[in-house]
Amino acid sequence: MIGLLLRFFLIGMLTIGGGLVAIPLLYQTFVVGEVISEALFYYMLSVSESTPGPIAINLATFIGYQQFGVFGSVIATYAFVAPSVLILLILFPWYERIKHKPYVQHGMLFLKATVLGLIMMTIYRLFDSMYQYHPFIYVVFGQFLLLGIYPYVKKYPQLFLLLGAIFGVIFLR
Amino acid sequence: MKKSFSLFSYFFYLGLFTFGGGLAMLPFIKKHAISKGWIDESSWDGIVTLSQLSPGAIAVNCANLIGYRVDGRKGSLVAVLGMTLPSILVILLIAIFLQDALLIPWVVSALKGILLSVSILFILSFVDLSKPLNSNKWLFAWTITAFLLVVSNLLSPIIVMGISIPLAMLYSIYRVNKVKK
Repeated sequence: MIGLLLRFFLIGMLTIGGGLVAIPLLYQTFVVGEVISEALFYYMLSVSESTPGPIAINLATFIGYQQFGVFGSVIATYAFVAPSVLILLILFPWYERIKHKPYVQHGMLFLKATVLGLIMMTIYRLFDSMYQYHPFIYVVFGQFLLLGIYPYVKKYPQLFLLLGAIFGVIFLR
Repeated sequence: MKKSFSLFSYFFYLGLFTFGGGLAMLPFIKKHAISKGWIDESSWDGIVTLSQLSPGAIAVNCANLIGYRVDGRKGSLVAVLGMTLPSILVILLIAIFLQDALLIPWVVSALKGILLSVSILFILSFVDLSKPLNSNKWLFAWTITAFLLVVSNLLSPIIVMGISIPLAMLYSIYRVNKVKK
């Protein structure tokens, strides 16, 4: 339990630049660390994307529950949130000035570059696992279909995910 | 008390009904917070910058900062609680049934199909996030390096993220000094 708390605290501290960064960090800790299986991790990711709320928070709650039940989910979520709450309480007085500082602007761009590298990693792993377990042609077909549909359903992310689900029920048995 | 309650109820509502992750929430937060008089229009950019720069999910950080503006530390805690509680409730409800649901074949197929949509959404976010960098080949090179370091299992993503914080500081110092000369 303490291990879970510390892991989520560390991941919360290093998730800089948005919740998408949390995904490879959680993957590393829990899938590479052989705590949960890759398939289960991706099922959780699917659910986290399809339910309301920030994805990283949903995923943290999910993994916490999977490990230690209801109590685990509360611990995981708030351990993940704690570093940002603490750091923002310290940084708050500067928030008005911070946006114009050139140091901040350049530093932020660099961190964005790291974030992009990690998102690339997540995409790579996701593709890798999808192509490994499903017929290549269905996955490619599904992705092109969804990409084509996306501009029309941009405003309704839940509809976009639902279309994916329908495709899955028909083709990915 | 009243202020805290309206913070809590708004962020609870937002956490319960906004699909599409934290970034989808930002425009709603902006509109509501300004119309409520919690923040003024000019401070919004600063709040977003700080939310991106600090650890954690951006929407939660935003809630935290706006809460602080409205009602100090109490406000920030209340806003963060409001934002995270719906996630815990909804996910718990699903998590309790997931083990059994995964025995039903069409549930598994649907989850796999959702993953296809998720992969498209990730690619689109990648494209979106790379826009501010596209003129800078050094930063792009670092993106590729970070990707290769992680994909080759040379470094864990946790370490890559950790070292990029001091690297970002060095980079910003270098850039600012270069402009001065």
